[in-house]
Amino acid sequence: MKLVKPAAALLSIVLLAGCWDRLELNELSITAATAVDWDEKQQWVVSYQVVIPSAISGAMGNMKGGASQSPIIVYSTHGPTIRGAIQQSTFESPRKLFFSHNRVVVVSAEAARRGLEPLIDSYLRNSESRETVDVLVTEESARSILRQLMQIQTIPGEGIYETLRTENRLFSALPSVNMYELALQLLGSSHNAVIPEILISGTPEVTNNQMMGNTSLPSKLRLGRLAVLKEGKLAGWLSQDEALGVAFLRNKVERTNISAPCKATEPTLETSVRVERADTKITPVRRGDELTLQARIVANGTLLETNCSLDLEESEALRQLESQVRQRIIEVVRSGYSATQQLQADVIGLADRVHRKYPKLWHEVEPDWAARYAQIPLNLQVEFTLKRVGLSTKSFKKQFGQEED
Amino acid sequence: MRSGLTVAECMAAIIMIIMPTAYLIVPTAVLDFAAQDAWISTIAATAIGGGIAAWLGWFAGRNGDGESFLNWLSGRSGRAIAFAGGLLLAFHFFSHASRALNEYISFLKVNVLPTTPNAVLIAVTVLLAMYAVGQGIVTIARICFLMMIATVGIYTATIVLLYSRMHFSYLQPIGEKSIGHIAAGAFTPVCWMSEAAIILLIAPFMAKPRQAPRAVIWGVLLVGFMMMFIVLEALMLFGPNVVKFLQYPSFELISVIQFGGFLERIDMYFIMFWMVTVFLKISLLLFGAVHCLEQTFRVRGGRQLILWAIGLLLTLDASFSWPENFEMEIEAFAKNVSLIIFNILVPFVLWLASYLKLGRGSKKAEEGRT
Repeated sequence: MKLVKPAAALLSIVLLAGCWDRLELNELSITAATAVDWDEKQQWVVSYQVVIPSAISGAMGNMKGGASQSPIIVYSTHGPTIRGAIQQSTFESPRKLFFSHNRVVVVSAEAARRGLEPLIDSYLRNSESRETVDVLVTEESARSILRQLMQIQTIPGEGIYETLRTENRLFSALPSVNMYELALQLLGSSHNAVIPEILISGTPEVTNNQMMGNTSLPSKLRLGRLAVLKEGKLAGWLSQDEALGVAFLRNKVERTNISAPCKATEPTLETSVRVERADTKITPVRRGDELTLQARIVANGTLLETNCSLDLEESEALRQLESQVRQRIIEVVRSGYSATQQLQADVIGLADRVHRKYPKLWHEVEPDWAARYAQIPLNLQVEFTLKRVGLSTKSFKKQFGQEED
Repeated sequence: MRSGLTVAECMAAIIMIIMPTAYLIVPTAVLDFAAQDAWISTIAATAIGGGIAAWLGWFAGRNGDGESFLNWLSGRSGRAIAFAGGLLLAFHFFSHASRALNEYISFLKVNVLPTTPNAVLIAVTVLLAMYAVGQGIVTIARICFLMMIATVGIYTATIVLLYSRMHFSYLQPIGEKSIGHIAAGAFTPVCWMSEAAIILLIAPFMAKPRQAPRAVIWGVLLVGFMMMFIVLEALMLFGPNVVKFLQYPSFELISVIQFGGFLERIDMYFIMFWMVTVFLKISLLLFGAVHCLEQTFRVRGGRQLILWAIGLLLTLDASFSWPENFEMEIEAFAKNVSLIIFNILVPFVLWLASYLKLGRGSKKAEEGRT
């Protein structure tokens, strides 16, 4: 009897260790990014950017002129379904693909035109894939995005993720959209969504470490336009300016830069302002059977640069600057809104607001919402306040002119 | 040292017998019918559940002398009725323990331990539950109380971590769904709340059994609050349409928590905490089955034997008798019906029998008293 408890304790060690689901680091292929293409054989092509742990420290050394092994390896598998393609990796990889550290999923435009439903389903259904991965789209082959090495960031997948975060924090035109947010947008009342574009600018592609030794790279990864999805399928693109306008309407501007002319009559943009806070309220307003989109943006910011001949100690000059920035925000927002109307894609969430405010009306307009959205006029009000002018008062141009006089 | 359960400990046991698996199932079950009005369904369910709890508590509190429920019933309604009632309740607690075990294992297989054999997961859980039952209901209820306190911290943490992602606008338009839809949404939570019927068994273990109504009413009200809290969280984070698509939205909430690169993938900590609460639930149900059999057959000194026999039977039942996932919808309906039958109808019949003082035993008892 004395032996029963120790024996039970020993047995429990064996049982509770979870031997069947153990994960050994040296048995895993840690995936930093995934790409999804659709090929001419009508199959999914899934590519993986796998980190080579032993090469990462070498690659870091390479920045200082050391080792030359690439920190990542990219390989692809084909299959009739996304998971089917992933399964094919077992035929060529000695290690199990491990997606928990996957940061981004890049989808080719071709695959996005077929629809992202299988991808979202695959991510939300499997616990090994994280719903927090960012989704991007590219007009080129998604696999080529994964092959491109990055400056500064050793692991390109991590680099893309950080680039998106930085853009989001400092310019806010392109949103970072992760898998669950994408599902949330597509299951919203309008069934539309937006995801950022990533592209390789320049040639040839930087795919080996020898090229990383140069001070300037012939090509690099950069964020591009904003892809618009309707019913889960790629329907069109918005330029960065239009994307910024849409970001204002979606109340997603954390911080951004606006360039404005000195006067309304002058075409050149000579002043830059950092918008540090922007708060947007959009409301659908019903008059009879007609809907109007009422948008009110309250923003403030700091002057970063001006080439206008202004004495910023005078309130008149400040009001003039504010008015130009306000006008510029209106232009940006209007161009973004009309671009979404041309695509008949309500990506600003107006459908949800109509549904909430006018539930009965919503059920009437829902079947024909896309066409209806394209007709809704925008009534826009923008308030902009210049909170700070930086470290100098007069513009240098003004000061220079006074000195010459 | 105190020998009986306090109101708070008893209340914690009520919460722990309902919440662990309700936490998994309730958001989808309610949102499926009531969409953005799901929170109204949970309020309605709490009102109805509170009423049922009040009646169950009142019934349990009538046995104020600390005598076991089935003995008390035997004295009031006769041996035959107590025997039948004991067998039915034992069957219910056993089958419900098996069901909870099955739900727990399904979750673990999908989310955490996909390749660990079911038999191992079931055996380890049953062994733990058997150990807890061996320690007695007072020990189990006290651990329930500790976990209840920890739950407050966990719920607060989820609010803090998810607040910035919540959209209050997802609750609109309020009242769009019909009363029928809202009532249908309330059905599953009411069924879960009826599990408070275990108060009939644990009230005699209270230091003051007449306080059973307080314990069970507060327990069910807190369960209602927790259900509303989870439903609101899921609703405000994912909106009604995404939640319908998810099997375990309560855990999906946690898995999207991410603050920069320093706080992410914390769902495993929540799952570990939740696993402890499931152990408590299964322990309480196993206690119910063992206690009812012990009392029904008037076993003296053979509790260990019953415990091992039921433990083995539970392991075999949970391993072999449950359908695959694709039959879950039918299974969920059958479960709700069985909860209503065994937690409300059977106690009602037993109460009626005790009220009408049916059976020869009661007559003898009456004669003895006179």
